[in-house]
Amino acid sequence: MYKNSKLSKLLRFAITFLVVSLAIFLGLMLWDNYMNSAWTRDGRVRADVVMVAPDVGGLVSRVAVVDNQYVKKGELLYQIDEVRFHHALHEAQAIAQTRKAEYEMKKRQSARRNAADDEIVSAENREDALYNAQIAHARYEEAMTQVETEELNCERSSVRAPTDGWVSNLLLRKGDFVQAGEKRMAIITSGSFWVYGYFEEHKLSLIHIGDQAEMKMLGTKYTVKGHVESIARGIADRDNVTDGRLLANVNPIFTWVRLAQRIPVRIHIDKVPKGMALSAGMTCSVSIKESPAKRR
Amino acid sequence: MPLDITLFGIQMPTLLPIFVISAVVQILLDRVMSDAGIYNHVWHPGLFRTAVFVCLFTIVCLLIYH
Repeated sequence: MYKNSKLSKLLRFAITFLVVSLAIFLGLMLWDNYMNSAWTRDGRVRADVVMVAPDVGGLVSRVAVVDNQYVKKGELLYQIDEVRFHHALHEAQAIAQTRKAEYEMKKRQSARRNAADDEIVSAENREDALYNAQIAHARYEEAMTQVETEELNCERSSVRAPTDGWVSNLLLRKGDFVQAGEKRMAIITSGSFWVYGYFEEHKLSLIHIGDQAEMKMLGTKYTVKGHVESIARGIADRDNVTDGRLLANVNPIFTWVRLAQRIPVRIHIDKVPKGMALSAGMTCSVSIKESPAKRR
Repeated sequence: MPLDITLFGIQMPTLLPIFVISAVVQILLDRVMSDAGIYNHVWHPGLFRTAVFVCLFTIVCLLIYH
């Protein structure tokens, strides 16, 4: 009886310990898989955005595109009122004509004086006439360059797409005044989409350039495939912002708990599933699969 | 299985629904085991119950996060 009760006691211990240790083992395994594998929920679709600015300033006389329109490289985006530039061009052409006539006159004068002998024209006069002709020629060339500049201004008053892409968030309207160099239209370059996965710093050692990546788009069944293109080599130090007197402004952090910084990992998109349209700014979960070649 | 599920535009880890489901399963299993008198053969029923729940939860989760 005594022996039997001892055995049953041992059995009770054994069963409990077995199940508890199994639970601990599985729990640790899950923790390891969940916390220490290379994946993040913090992934963003990004794209190259060209900020289109006009080369010349003026009134917008026509906006040739609508919001979210696809444009080809060289397509007209908007037209800046070109009357002023045509006037300037005519002025420059008129100046060039004057300079040309002046040059012809000085040239002939010089030729005439050169042909006359020393008794009629002094050596000094002859020399002056030659230099005057050279000066007139240079001034004529200057005027011609001005004409070319004005022609360029006329041409640049039509603002054209620098690349294939989509016009985004179009706010420019006919009648707006734009300054030269002021960015007024954004074009999202087509085919330039990539994904930025913000990985916690302790996971970076698990990520290598060339590793396969899978992006699960938020709320969809779509999985976008890609590979790791590069890893950012620096992010801002949030705890050290220089103050107005150029001194370090070190944040007194709470020493016990430190948050892992997020480092951007750039992922090149290889394959977008059919029916999926990528938009810059979309959220996705990124998981990195170690490439077989590097697996040990 | 996906790592995340999205409900009403909110993304959450799949662990969350698994946790709820395994809790329900655990309650049913608890009934069955107590009816079968298994708890008479364990040392510490509370610890045992917790361990069984952890096993249920982690085994399903490990199938997803492997």
